[in-house]
Parts: sequence; structure tokens; C-alpha cells
Amino acid sequence: MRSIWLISRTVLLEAIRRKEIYAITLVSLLLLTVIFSIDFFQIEGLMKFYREVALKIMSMATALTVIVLSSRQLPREFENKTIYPLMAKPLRRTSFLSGKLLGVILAALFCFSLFMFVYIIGTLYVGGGIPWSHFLQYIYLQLLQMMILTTLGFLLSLVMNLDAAITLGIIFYITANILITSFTYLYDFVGIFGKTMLTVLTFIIPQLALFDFSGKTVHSEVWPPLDLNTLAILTAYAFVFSGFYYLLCIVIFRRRAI
Amino acid sequence: MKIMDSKREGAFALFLFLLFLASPAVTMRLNPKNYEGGRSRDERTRHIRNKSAAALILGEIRSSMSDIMFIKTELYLHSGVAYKLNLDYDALSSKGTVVEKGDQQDVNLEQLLPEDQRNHAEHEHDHDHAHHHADDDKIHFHCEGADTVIPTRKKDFRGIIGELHRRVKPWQDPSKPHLHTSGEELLPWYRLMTLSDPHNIRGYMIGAWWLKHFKKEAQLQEAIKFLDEGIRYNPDSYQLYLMKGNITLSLDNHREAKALYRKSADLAIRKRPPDGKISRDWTHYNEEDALAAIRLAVFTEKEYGDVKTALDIARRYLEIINSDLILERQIQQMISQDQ
Amino acid sequence: MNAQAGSNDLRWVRLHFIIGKGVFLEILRRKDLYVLIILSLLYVLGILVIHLVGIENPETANFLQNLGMSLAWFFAHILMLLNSSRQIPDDLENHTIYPLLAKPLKRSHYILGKWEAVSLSGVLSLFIFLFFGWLLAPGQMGNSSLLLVQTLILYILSLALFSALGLFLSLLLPRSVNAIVLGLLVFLGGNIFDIVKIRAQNARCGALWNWIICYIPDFSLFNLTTRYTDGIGPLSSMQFAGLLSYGFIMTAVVLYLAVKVFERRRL
Repeated sequence: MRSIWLISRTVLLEAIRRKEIYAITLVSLLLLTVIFSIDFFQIEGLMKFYREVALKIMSMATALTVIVLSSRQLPREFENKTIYPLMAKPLRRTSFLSGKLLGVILAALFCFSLFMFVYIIGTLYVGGGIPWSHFLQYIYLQLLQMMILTTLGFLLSLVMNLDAAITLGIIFYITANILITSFTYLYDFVGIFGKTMLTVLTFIIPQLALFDFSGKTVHSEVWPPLDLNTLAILTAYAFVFSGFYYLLCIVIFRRRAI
Repeated sequence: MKIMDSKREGAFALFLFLLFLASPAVTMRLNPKNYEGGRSRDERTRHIRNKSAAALILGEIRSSMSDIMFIKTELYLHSGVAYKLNLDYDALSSKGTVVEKGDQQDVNLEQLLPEDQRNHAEHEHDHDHAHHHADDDKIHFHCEGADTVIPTRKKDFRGIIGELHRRVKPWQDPSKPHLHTSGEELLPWYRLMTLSDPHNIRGYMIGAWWLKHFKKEAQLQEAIKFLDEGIRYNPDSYQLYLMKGNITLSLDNHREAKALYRKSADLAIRKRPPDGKISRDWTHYNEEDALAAIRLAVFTEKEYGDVKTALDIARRYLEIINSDLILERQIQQMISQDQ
Repeated sequence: MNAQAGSNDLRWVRLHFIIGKGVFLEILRRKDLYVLIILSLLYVLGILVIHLVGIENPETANFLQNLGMSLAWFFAHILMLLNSSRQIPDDLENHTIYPLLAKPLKRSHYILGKWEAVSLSGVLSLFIFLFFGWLLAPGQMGNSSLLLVQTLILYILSLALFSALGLFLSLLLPRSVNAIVLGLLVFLGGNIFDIVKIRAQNARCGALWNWIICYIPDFSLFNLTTRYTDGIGPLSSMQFAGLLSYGFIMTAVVLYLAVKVFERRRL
């Protein structure tokens, strides 16, 4: 357990030390500040727009950080040969990967905390309220999504080169909504074989759109927060996919000659 | 040789530097995106392409801000619920009317204002809409009869995934009456839209309409500023003058409203095809706005100006547009008043 | 004298060829083609989906054509972003720059050779994407052919400027920061500039602001996709010539700066 914590701490510190996390955060914060500073016709309390833009920027910036960070973890260890002294220690590969996973998630949390701070200050400045229960559920579901993206990033980086892994990760994140809509829409257009394929794909591809609670958070005056049962199912869903990718990573990792 | 080379390089660097320094003189005049019309801004084509299967699958992914606004308007007015039908955006920009193409039930948002706040423009060219909304002017219930993008449990093959999808995203059973919320929250989007495309006349029109909906002087003044910006970029747009006239009238500035309606009517007549025939380039709403501008120009001249001038311009306009019952009635009234 | 000049030219061309070959071999060796293939596969998936649901009317075809061309522009720039920001830092890190500079090769030639090869790879990928984009939805609304030619020329100019900028910034910024700056400039720059320009009009030193902003490359000026699919006519010769001059001046300035920075750098 201690070794997991040590590795995750290294990942987190390195993420904080590296310039890109600041560049992404700075650019996003700049965008947020500009948006919050625009005076829209001297009207107070136009919160839906601010909420939507802030949540989108938060999510995009964190996802980008997580995808880049997770995709780079393993290849760099191999490239710089820093993995060899680590593996020489009595450290299990599962602990090593778990440490990396925890580190990236903590980095995502670090990103979210920065954005949350700006969002809260901005909202108070604009003069609106924060729908706390919606907002916290939104963050929780985003973290589950980041967990899937992290393990997927590890896996992709083990089977293809870095740029390709990052590109594929970003495409997967950006097209999440298209994916889920297209499956339901195409179902009526295809034959039996197509229908079977779509059903299988729906269940074997993680539907990241399910972790995007921004719609209800933006229009929170109309929609209630999610019930615990739904949150539990979504948590299990995220763990199933992350666990599966994690296991695949372990298998590939073991086969790699170290 | 080396000295020659370095001298040549120095001269080249200086030349390049001067060119670069002076380049904004050319760059500021480059405006490849500055053109009027175009399919991306045209209501009819926008409606058709956004209703297509490909567009529905793509969700909010669009390359034009105008299309993004189209989607945002639908989502915001339906509290985030994505429907397969589309609002009649043209009607919304023309007279603040939400027309649901799915079942042809429409709600005139102007009716949500108290009687004394409604202005003549809407009275003149907006009638006979069936509406069934609650008294609250922010939210009202509405029965759509159109499918949602996320299917109902009966139509969904995805089992638990579909169930989670319906729970996480804003979704309502389409067979049940649902909420229509106010579009005031859309205002920042319209501001962004017109900032990124100042030739998007609809953006200025709808933005101004929602500002008027606030019924406060500060926002009415903001609406005028907003429309002035639109007029600066689109000086030939008669709709912008018409809308500015409506807002100016709300502020009881009758003389200016009169001049604005006149300007709008003159511009409209210049653009209108000789027979006023409805076509792709001259839509039903173009014609309605043009007629409204003409009628209001006559009406305000009669009410706040000189009846004789009003009669003159009414006759001149009638001669150009051939026939219009309301204008003919106005002329009759003025003649009988004169006698 | 002439013979010597001729042999110098030949040597110059040969050295450029060596650098260009190096860039392309690097692209193949590093399996960067993966990215190209992944992005192309996205198009193929799109084509399959469109084949299933069909194109209901010319308006939808036009919309898809706009999307296909916009994505081609977007993807080609992404590939260039990945490629240009890596060239010089990788050569320095892997020490592959030394054998090149040991040859009678000026540093300016090294930068120019890199720029040519990176730009060429970008243009090639652009045409691959455009081909897929055309398969996605062949135009059905009779848009201006002359404007299409202008659009393609400006696409190429945009890529040339983008690769020059990528190489230049890679000498000043870490790779990831370079990628973020480039991405922001190419994908959001146009909108941000438009907003700043309109807001500047009401500001006190509006004209001065607008003048200063013009020194930052605005890639949206080179993207005429929407104008083309909107069915608008071609650009006037003055406008087109102005855009070409803008692109050439910007590219030349950025390349010159890159050469100067690189020449001053200790290796």
C-alpha cells in the first residue's frame, strides 16, 4: 500500500512540476476569466451560460490532462529505463500500475480543484447560486470518467505509439456523445446482424456520455439530482471497464520483457 | 564575399521587417468571411440540414456558430431535453414566436407580456396562434408529440445503458406535457454569436427580442445598442430597423420610432420582389416583416406625425405592393377623418 | 564561376532532399502513420454511417461537405502540430542533428529543409482527408469551382505558416506548451480575434488594438470552407492577392526568426 502511495505521489508531483498541466490550466483559467468578465447586457443572474461554459472547459481541460498524462506514464518509464530499478525492488506490477493510476486520478482532482475555485469565485462575482448537489455529482461522475480514460490511456500507450494513443484517447472522449446517439439511431436502419453488432458494441464500449451530468447541472432548477441507486450503478459500470483495461494492461505489461 | 553576404542579408531582414510592420494595413482589409446571405445563415436550409439523420447523430458538433445556436435554442427552451423536432427559428427571430414544427402548435411569447407592454408591431403582424401555457411567464407546459433524441424505454434496445442514459441526461417522456422555459438565458449565446459573425442578422433580432422581454429600461437601451451594432454591420437590413423601431416605441420615443419604421419600410420595398412572391430568397417571414414595416410606418406617421403625410406615403406604398387590406383600411380611415 | 554556382545549387538540393527524407523516414519509423490512419478511419466510419442513414437532400449533402472539409483542415493541422513541434527537439535529444550539421549544411538550410518536409507531409495528409471528405458527401449544390481552387491554395498556405510557427515555437517552448499554444491559435484564434476586434471598436484605442492584433497569425483567414459551402462566389483578385501576401509575409517572418534563434543556439 505504501509503495502505491509513493508511486502515485511521484506521478502527482511530476504532473504538478511539468509545465503542460499549468499551460492547460492557465489557458482554461484565462478562458473562464474572460467569460466571467463579459457583461451581457447588464443582466444579472444569467447562470446557465456561465455554468455550461465553465463545466465544459473544466471537463475538457481535465480530460486532456488525464489523457496526456496517462498515455505518457508507461512509455516514458520504458524509454528512460527508469522501470528497471523499480522492478528490481520487491514491487508488484499491479502495485506499480495502481500507483500510476492513483497518481493520474489525483492529478485530475488537482485540476478540478483549481477550476472549482475559479468557478465558485466567478459565480459569486456574477451573482448566481451554485447547485451544490448537482455540482458535486457532476464532479464525482467526471472523476469516474477520468478513471476509465486513465486506464484506457495506459492500455493504448502499451499497444501503440504516444501520439497515436493521445489522439485516439482524445477522439474517444470528444465523440462520446456521437457514439451513444449513433448507436440508438442506426439500430432502425440495419438488419439482424447489424442489430446484434450494435447491441454488442453498446455493451463492450464504455459509454462515456453516461458520466456527463452537465445537462442537468446547467438546467438544475428543473431537474433533481441523481438518486443513490443510479450513482451506485454508474460507479460499478466505471469500475468494470477500468478493471478490464487494468487487467489487460497487466497482461501486456507482464509479457513485456523487462 | 562574406561582408557582401551579410550586407545582403541585413537588407533582406530590414525589408522583411518593414513589410511585416506595415502588413496590418493590408490585413485589416482582408475579410473573406464578410458576405451577406449564405446557406449557413439561411433559415430554410438550416432547418432542413439540422433535421437530417446525420445532424441528429452529430449532436452539438457543428462548424458554424449559427447552427450551434439553433441547437442551443432548442435545448434551452426545453430545459436541456433534446427533441428530434425543431423549432421554427425563422418565426422566433421574426416575431418571437415559438412554433413547434412537430405538431404545428405555437406559442406567441409576446403574449406572455402584460397587455400594456405589448407593442403595436406584434399586434399588427401576429395573430391567431393557438397557445396553451400557464400564467407564469417564465415556464409553461407544452405538449410536443415529437420524439426525443434519447428513445423511450419501449423503443430502446440498450436495456440498462438506455435506462442510465435517460436518468443522467435531461429527458422526459415525449408523450407527456413538458416544460418550456424562457429563452432569456440564451442571451449570452446570441451575444457570442453576433460577436463571432456580425453579419448574422437573426442573432441581433432574437437577442433584441429577448432583451425586450425583460421590460426594463436598462435592457431596452441595451437592445438598442445591440441593434445599432447590427445596423452598423448590416446597414441594408430592414428587419433590424423594424426591431429597433419596436423597441424605441416601447420607450415612448415616438418620433424616432416613426423615422425607423420609415427607413425599414423603404429598405424593405427596395428588397422585396415586385409581386412579393414567396420564394427561397423571399420567405413568408420576409414578406410579413416588410408588410409590418410598411403598416407601422403609416400608422406611426398618422398617430405621431402628420395625417396628410401618412396618407401620401400609404398611397405610395400601396401602389408598390398592389394590395394590402390593413393598409387600405388605414387609408379609408384617414380619408374619412380628413372629410 | 557558373559551374561552381551550379554545383552549389545541386548540393543544396541534395541536402534538402536528405533532410526531407529524414523527416519522412522518421514519420514511418515512429509509426506516426498510426495517427493518420486513425483519423482516416474516422472518415471511413462516417462514410459507413452516412451510407446507412442516407443523405436525404442536397442541403444535408452540403452540410456534410462542409463538415468533411472542415475536418480535413482540422485534422491536417493536428498532424502538423504533432509533427512540427517535435522535429527539432527530437533531433537535439537523440543527437541526430550532429551528423547533419557535420555536413556542409548551414543551420538556415536545416530549418528550411525541415519546414519544407513537414509542410509537404501536412499537404499530403490534407489531400488524403479531403479525398475521404469528398467520399463522405460529394457536393450537390453547385458551389463555385474557382472558390474551391482558392480555398485549397489557402489551405496549403495555412499549413505552410503553421509548420513554420510550430518549428519556431519548438525552439522557445516545451513541446506540450507549444502544442497548446498552436492549438489555441489555429482552432480558437479566429473567434477570439473577431470578438476582440468588435469589442475594440468601442474601446478608446480601438484602432491601435486592431492594428496590434494583426501581428498575430490569424489562421481563420485561410479557411474559406463555409464561404465555399455557403454558395458564395470566389474572392476578388485583390482580396485573394492580399491573403496570399499576408500568408507569405507571415511565413517568411516566422521562418527568419526561427533561423535566427536556431543560429544563436548553442548545440
